[in-house]
Amino acid sequence: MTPVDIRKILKKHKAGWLALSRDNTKEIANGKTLHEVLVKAKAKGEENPSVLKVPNLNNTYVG
Amino acid sequence: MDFPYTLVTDWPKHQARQRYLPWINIGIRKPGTIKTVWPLGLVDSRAELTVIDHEIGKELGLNFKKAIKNTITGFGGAKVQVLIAEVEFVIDDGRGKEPTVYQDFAGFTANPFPASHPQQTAIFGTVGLFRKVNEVSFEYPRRIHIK
Repeated sequence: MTPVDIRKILKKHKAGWLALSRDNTKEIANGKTLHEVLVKAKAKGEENPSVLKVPNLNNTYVG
Repeated sequence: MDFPYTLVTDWPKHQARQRYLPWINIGIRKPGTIKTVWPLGLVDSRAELTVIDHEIGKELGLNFKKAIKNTITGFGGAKVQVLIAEVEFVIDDGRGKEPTVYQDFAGFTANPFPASHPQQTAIFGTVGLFRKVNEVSFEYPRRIHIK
């Protein structure tokens, strides 16, 4: 199974929310709030996008 | 159900480095409703509780008036306030199989995730994922398998 590469998508953003295609390969919308990106995605025909808040990848996680 | 790892880049000491992370989509919805939000979150066997950004709870219209307030502690002692509510989880890898749907609890952050945390959307832990499925296996960096 090939990993899903979201490097190019994340490179364009420093903060906020993203709506991606359900396979996480394409950016559909971005915005300051989750609600905003869901509204934008719906307007573009994607009712159930994948959503994420732009992560802080300068740190390594140990949980 | 099989999910691919997610490939990201981080910048330790300003040098690009690839990381394969167990980030997958699990649907979250208010019980008895169909509106579902699909956060791309971290599958974390060390997390005792699933933790989800508060905006998702707000978007789903969850009523937090009766929610249990709790403080969770992470590695290093960072503390985060959460409101624990019962939600419906949907596991669907998009390959045509019948989705796995169950109800369990999740903690919705009272505020955004700590800025220092690499995952800012959701962490899927024991309560909310591992205790509700038969198996979660990690075949790094090929796939995350949930049965």
